[in-house]
Amino acid sequence: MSKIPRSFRLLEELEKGEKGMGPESCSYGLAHSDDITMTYWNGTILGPPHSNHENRIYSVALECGEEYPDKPPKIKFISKINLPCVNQTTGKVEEDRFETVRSWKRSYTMETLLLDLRKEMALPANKKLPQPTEGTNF
Amino acid sequence: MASLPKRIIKETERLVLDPVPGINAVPHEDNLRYFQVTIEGPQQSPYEDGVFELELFLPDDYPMEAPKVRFLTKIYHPNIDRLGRICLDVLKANWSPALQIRTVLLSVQALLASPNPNDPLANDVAEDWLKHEDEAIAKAREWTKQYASRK
Amino acid sequence: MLVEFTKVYPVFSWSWDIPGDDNTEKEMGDEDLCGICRVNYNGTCPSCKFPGDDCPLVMGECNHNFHVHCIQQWLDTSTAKGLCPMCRQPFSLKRGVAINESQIDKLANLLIQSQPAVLNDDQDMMMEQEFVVR
Repeated sequence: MSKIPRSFRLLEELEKGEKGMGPESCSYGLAHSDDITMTYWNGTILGPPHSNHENRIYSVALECGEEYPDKPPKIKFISKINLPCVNQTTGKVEEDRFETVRSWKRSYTMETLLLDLRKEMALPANKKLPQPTEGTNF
Repeated sequence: MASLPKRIIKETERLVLDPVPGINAVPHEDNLRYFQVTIEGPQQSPYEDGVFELELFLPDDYPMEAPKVRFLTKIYHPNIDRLGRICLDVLKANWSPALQIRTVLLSVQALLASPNPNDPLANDVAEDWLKHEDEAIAKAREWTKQYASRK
Repeated sequence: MLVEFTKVYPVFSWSWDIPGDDNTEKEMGDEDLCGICRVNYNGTCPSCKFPGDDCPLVMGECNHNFHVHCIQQWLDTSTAKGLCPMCRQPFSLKRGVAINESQIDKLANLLIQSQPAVLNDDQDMMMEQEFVVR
């Protein structure tokens, strides 16, 4: 397999996100539609059912640097959330506490990250954690 | 990495030894399917004084699948969107393996010479182009000056 | 003088028997190259190691020649719409050509699959025209 360059990989992800071909439980798109470098992205995660996150929609900001997809994007929660891998002051997802980022592979996408964050929320240890008031931001 | 198909090697050699006037395409050293491209704006078009940067990638299925091409330089054109994506039939439904990197880049250059606002990708630009063609052309010139490098 | 042969090394050369090869128009520098992989007819497609029977050449009704593996792979794509890459005519194997004989059965399946789509397009177009006339 040849290595698809950063920009064409991001265009593929953008098209998938725009056409809504991904799963319903998350969405993502460019933060600025004229950002020709395609660096800054917005994402949303729908809280998993049977948890304290049920029916909540979480906003996250993603930053795909020059080395994406060889290196993972930086992710930060905009909406307040109580999760072990999320820094409670800044909302940043901490690399060493989130397995998907720690063992990042080139084949992973922004969608992988959003869906895996949703799985974190649904973990038995995390699903009943007390959550901040809905609608508050970091 | 799998070895590079003979066809890609031949195409690359010819692009270097016998380049198309006004078009330059060089593969990246660490990815021989990924080309850094420049295209000179065609004469008598609003892009004539500019040199535009593009990137081109040959997917695994090339030549069964078309190359992927994108503008890196901002450009005001009804068939090129704000992310540099190009609406061109030979890059999608009318691709044929008889086409090559050089013919595709020539088609892109021809698209600069004859914009087609009736089949737009950038809708706002196309609307301008159809309603106030003179103003649109002036804007295309202005953007060329501002964002493209000089010949 | 008496000559005694101790050893004989026969050397053979071969090439595909392409009818009308001398009269067909050739583009400059594109002589005898498969229009898809751009390797010589007598060479192999990118997936084969040995030329000849392992990687046969076929001739289209439109007189364009390809390695059978190359044209088969192209016709398998949805972009192909059953058309020849060179002239965009519906691709079919030329009848009565020796090199095609062994391939007609194999490629026939592909042609039957891909051609109705082309016919349907034509039908749609005809219906549209009728609609306009009324």
